[in-house]
Amino acid sequence: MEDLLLRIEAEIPALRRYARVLLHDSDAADDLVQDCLVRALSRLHLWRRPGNLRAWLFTILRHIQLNQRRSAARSPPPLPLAEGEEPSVAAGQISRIEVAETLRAFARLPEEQREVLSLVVVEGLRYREVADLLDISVGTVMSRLARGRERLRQMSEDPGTVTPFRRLP
Amino acid sequence: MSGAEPHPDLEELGAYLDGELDEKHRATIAAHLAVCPMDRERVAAYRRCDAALRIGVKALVAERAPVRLASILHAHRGRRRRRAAIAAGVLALLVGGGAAWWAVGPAGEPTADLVQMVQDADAAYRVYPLTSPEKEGTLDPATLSARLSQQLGTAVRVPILERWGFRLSRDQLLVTRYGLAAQLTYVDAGGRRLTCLFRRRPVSGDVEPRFREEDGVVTAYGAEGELGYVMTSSLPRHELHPIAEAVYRAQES
Repeated sequence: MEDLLLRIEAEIPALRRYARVLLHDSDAADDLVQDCLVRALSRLHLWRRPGNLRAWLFTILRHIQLNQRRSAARSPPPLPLAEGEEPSVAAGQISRIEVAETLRAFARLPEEQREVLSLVVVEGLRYREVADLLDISVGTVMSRLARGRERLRQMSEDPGTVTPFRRLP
Repeated sequence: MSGAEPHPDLEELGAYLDGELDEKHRATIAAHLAVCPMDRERVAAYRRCDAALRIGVKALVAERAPVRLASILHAHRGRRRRRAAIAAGVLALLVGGGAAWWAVGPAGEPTADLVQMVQDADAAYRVYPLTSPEKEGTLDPATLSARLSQQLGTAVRVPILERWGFRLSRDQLLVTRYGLAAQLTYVDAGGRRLTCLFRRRPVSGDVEPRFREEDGVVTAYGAEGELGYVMTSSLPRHELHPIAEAVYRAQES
């Protein structure tokens, strides 16, 4: 049990990132993480051991966020990541500018693509886990991901233009 | 620009990158990439974007999570631990015999026992993270002062820190090299934590409050006669300062 708590604690950075992708305000994102942790602790008995703890926590977080959004009685807001924010770190051969541009392009993606990209690319969830989490099919996960990646690529190659959304064949 | 050609579709390329293909499918894509510069470039571009995205999103959240997040877990842990009934709260505190970072000084200067006490307090602060802030706080300072004075063998006045928004939420005894020490844990509404360690000293003498900062942990310590005290917290120094003064004055009277 103690071990599980430590593992949950280790997931806090990932939860904060995911919340940050869902909500543009970082304080609101941390509030969401807080609610998620409280709820997770009250449901530890529901955690099934051979499974992805991160995906389980993400599911909780997302449910809370959906409920909050519903109770706020408004349609899904665009929730952009703050445009001006520049990452303070860059690593390897990726330049700081490249990271900033990618992030800007990412902020322009439709929310559903952004979410899937963050879950797969940043948080390392499997397609199946993302599908369960978002309650969509694996095929939908793949197509959102492909569109998101393709747009990121296009925008990063030509950051000046915002390519209009185009359906893939 | 993209795919109306007889190439793998973009979803397959993505699945290839994400390791979501079975071995056979994977080999097919790899073989295709070997002969198709266009898709090879595209996959390389995806990889680059992925890497940039990972760095970027990770940088979006501040390095350190707010204390309140981890403290939710610590509080939970504390409840469990208490339930597991290490009832007496007497726990051996193992402190490495590390080199003292402070020279032993003349009268009025920190002595070896006080230096050691700062290290003990620091270790205890890190080892015993937090108790449930909402559960307790029903400890009566007068009763507790009487009990601790008896246990430590010298007069202790349990500080009341409500003025600064800190409520007493736990007391426990620790076994240290210089005898029993009492660790009091205070928590404020924001989940910030402050501990106060008291111990009877082998020597007597007043030491005015001093401050020390290391790894984001701020310590205030001093002594009043036989009683040594150390306050440990991650509060900014300027916030801890008046609290430490008050604790010190409280022991004087």
